[in-house]
Amino acid sequence: MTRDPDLIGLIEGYLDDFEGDTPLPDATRDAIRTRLPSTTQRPAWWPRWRSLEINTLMKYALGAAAVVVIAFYGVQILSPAGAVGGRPEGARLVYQLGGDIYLANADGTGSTLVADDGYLSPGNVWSPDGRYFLYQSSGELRLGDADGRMVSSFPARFGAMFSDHSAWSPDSTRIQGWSPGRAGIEIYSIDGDLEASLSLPDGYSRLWDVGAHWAPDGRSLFAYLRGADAVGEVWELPVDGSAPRRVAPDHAFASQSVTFAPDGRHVAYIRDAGTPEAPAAQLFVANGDGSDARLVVEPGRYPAFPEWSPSGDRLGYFVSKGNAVDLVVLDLASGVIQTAIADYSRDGYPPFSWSPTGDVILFAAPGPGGGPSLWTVNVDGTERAVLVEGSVWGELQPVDPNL
Amino acid sequence: MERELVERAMHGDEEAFDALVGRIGDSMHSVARRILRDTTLAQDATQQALLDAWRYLPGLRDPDRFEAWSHRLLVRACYAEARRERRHHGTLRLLGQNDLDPDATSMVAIHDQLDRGFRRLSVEHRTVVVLVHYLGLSPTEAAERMGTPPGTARSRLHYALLQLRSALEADARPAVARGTA
Repeated sequence: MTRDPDLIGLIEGYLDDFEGDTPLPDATRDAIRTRLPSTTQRPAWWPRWRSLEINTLMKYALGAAAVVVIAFYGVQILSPAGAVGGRPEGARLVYQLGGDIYLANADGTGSTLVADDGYLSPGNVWSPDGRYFLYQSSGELRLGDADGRMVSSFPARFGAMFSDHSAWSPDSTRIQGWSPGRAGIEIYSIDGDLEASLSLPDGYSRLWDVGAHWAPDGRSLFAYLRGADAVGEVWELPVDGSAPRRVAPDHAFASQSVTFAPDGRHVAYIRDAGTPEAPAAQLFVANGDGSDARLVVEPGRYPAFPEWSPSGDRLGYFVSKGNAVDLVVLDLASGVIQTAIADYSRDGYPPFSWSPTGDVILFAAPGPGGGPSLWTVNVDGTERAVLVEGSVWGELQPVDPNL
Repeated sequence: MERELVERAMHGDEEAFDALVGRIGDSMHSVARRILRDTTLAQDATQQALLDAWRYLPGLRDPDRFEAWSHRLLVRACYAEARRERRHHGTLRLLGQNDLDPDATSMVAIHDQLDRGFRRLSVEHRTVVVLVHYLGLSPTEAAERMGTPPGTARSRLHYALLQLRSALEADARPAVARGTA
């Protein structure tokens, strides 16, 4: 385990020595002082969307996310298990290298520059049909095609809020994300046009800074909201603008971590069977309608961030025990769980993505030189290899339209 | 933070709140500048957060959590300022580097690379880095301030550090970077 002390030291030095650090100007203090008499204090019974008690929030956070205490820092330096291996074929790869976005063959060769000053948002890169990919460049959210051409861009207001909580619709025709101010959800077409603005139910607001999920049929979104009593609830927001519906608390979809398989046949979700003080997260897999739920993770191991393979046959997710976080893969047909990356991380949940066939996982981790690199590994943990040295993130095209 | 001051401010004592501003204003301003990378925006965000603190203070359940609660309001205000700025100007302005030692060439280069890395990060990713590596909060504490589950904060921190590492190494690796072609 290494803690990457050099990087942390440089970052902390950079932040400590921030240029021209100045105290809050007297003019600002005076402005605050002047405005206090005209700024009405809200009584204690006022809805506390801005003053949600931290302890309460933490209890929900601990309970629902089932996050264990993980020793901070320390990214495992992975040793290549083979010079070349586990490299998928038949698809395109889009990756970020430094501040540039490249499009390449699936094995990382033949790369062409798509954009400089670019940024990829893990999990939101390729459309499910593999025709387009999203990237940010020059502060703008853009759509590129499989040949690397920019085909559209989105309003800056949408690009500004698009980070790690927006998502492609299952049919690859729309993209959704929170509206500025988080008052609702906006849906854009791939042409960059606003198609719908969905309002939240009266008295509800977003609970956490996490995104909504598309229903498999693309007709609604599931969002985790906070009501007046500060308890998290899952609501279904129809895309046609009709009235939102609260998901029954005992329904499979009433989890903030619900994740539908791309084909909609199955759903994975995490439930907390413990208490706020002693969370005990459990991973379930059920049919697409929530029926026939089955417990996946054995006791004592805490699951997090499940992600389906493109075919919906496999489910990748993190399990943590003690300080170590493993990335494991469940084969749905056989029920076999394999460890793809043992002791993957000790500083959180790094992003990962799937190859088109679901046989290989892409992940970012320190490379042989210590810097970030894009790796591949078979789902059984074999043939771990660097795909693009120096790349902080990349994702493979879900399907090859030429096949 | 003195509980008595907070309790007095909760009951509408403007002098007490002014004293609280004096104690946490500079710290909040410093955090806002690092997240927003713009002095004017940082002042606006700090002012808005403190006015929000005054407005909603009577609803604060635990006066001992005033500072943490104020930082949470600050993060929200920074998000709002960043988005407002993007709508108007497309991107945030960069601060200069006038105070850097001109002889420290390598440190200037590193500073430039980190500057580029920070500029490339989303405001959410910058926020978690500042909260953890400037304020010294744990990822779980940072999650409280940001209003995210702890796992999301950890995930963002991990990715932000990868991005910054990438920015540091980008200039030193041009041949390798294009070598995959």
